[in-house]
Amino acid sequence: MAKIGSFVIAQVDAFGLRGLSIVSYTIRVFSMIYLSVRAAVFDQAQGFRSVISVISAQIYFTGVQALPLISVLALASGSIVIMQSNMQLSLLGGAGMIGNLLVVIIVREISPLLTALVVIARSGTAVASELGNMKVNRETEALESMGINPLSYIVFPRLLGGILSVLGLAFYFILVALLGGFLVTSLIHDMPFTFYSESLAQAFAAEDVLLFLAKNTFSGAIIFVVCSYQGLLVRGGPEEVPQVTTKAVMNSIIYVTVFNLGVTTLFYLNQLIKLGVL
Amino acid sequence: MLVTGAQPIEAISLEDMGYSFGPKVKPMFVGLNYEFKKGTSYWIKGGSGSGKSSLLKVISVLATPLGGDVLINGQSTRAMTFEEFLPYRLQIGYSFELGGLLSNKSLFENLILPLQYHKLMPEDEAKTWIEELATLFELTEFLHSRPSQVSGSIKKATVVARALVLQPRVLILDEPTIGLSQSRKDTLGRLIHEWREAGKLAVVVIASDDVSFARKATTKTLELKSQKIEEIESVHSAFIVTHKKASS
Repeated sequence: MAKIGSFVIAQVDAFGLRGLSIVSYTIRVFSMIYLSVRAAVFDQAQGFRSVISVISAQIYFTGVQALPLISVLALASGSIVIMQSNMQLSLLGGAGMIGNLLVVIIVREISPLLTALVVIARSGTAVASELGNMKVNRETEALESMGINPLSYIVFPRLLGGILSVLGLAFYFILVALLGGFLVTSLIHDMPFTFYSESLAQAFAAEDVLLFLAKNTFSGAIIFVVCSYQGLLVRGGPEEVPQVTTKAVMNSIIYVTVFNLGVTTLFYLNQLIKLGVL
Repeated sequence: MLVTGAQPIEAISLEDMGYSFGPKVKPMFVGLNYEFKKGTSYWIKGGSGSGKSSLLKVISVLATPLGGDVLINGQSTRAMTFEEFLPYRLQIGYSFELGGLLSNKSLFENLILPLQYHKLMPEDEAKTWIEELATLFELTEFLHSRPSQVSGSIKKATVVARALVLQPRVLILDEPTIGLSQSRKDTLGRLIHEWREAGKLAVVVIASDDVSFARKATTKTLELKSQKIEEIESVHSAFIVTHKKASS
C-alpha cells in the first residue's frame, strides 16, 4: 500500500514539475515579444530603412512565396466545404444557411488554422534554422559586439513581417476558398451567384473581423516568437540546428492550435451568453 | 568610437569574477580579480581550454559572468541594459577567433554595418574609410563577395578589420593572426602600435599563440594558469621563459 502511495506521489510530482516547466517555457518565450518590441522602441540607432528592408524580405518569403500552396489548400477546402454543406443543407431545406456555415467553418476556423500550419511548415522552420545557424556562426554575438541588439535587428522585423504575412495570407485564403470554392461547385451543381453572395453577406458580422484579426495576429506572433526563441537557444554546434527546428515546429503547432481552440471556446461561450443559454 | 556625451574607457576591471559555460559545468574562473589599465596592451597566453576566449568575452561584456562583476571606469556593468552599455560598447572593438561575419551580407556590408547602423559618419566618409581599411588589409578585390565565397584567411582579415572600423579605445582580439598572411599581420601590428602611440587606443588585449606577433603588438604578458591570471614581467622575458621551458 505504501509502495503504491509513494508511486502515486512520484507521478504527481513528475506531472507538477512538467507543468511548471511548460509554464516557465511559455513565460520565457512570450516575454520575448515584449523584449523585442522594447528593444526596437529603445533602439534609437536602428533606422526605419533597415527595419523595412527586413520586414519586406520576411513578407516576401513568408507571404508571397506561400501563395501557390495557400491557393491550392484554400481552393480545395473551400470547394469541399461548399459542396458538402450545400448537399446537406438542401436535404434539410436550409440552403439559405450556406453563408452562415461558410463563415463559421472557413472564415473563423479553417483559414486561421491552415494558414498558420502552412506558415509554420514553410517560414517557422526557416526562421528557426536561420537563427540557429547565426548562433553557430557567432553572427548574433558579432551584432552585439557592434552595438546592434539582435532582438531589435533580427527578431522584431521577423515578428512584425510574420504577423503581417499571416494576416495577408489568411485574408487571401478566405477569398480563394469562398470565390474559388463557389466556382468549382458551380461546375458540378448549379448555384446562383446572387443567392450565394447574399447569403454570405448576411452571415458576416463585425465580430468576424475582430475574430479574424485576433486569431491571425496572435498566431503570427506565436509562430515567429517560438521559432526565433528556439533558434536562439542553440549553444553548441550545427548538430543542434535541426533539433531546435523540429522543436520549434512542434511547439508552434501546439501553441497555435491551443490558442485557436481557446479563442473559439471563448467566442462560443460569449454566443451562448448572448442567446441566454448560459 | 566615442559618441557624444560618452565617457572614454580608461580601465576595465574584473572583480571576483566567476565564469562557467553553464550551471552544471565546472567553473572556468572563480573569484578572479584583475585590472586592465589605460596605455597598456596585454598578451594573454595559456594552453588550450585555459579560458582565453571566455576571458576576452567577459572583459568585452559579451558574456555575463556567473559571479562578481566587470567594471568599466569603476562602474559596474552587471545591471546595465543593452542601451545603457551602448556608449561603452561602441568603444570596444572585438574580433572573434572563429566566425562572426554576417553570412547574408557582403564583406563591404559587414565592415560598414556598425558605421551605417549607428550613423557615426556621413555615408561617403564611411565608404572612404572602409575602402582605406580594405586596402590596408588587402581586401579590396573581395569586398563585394559574401563570406561563403572567400577563403578562411580573407574572412579572418575581415573580422579583424571590422574590429578596427569604429576606431575603438579598447581592442580585444581573439587569436587574430590565425590564417593571416605576414603582410596583414604586419599591418595589424603597425596599426595597433600607431593608434596606441597616438593615444587613440587605451587598452589592447590579445589572446594568441603567435609569439612573434604578440611580442610586437603588446607590452605586458598575462598567463592563464589554474583559473588564475599571472603577470609575467615582459613579453620578451615571457618568450624566453616559454622557450627555456620547451627546451628543458
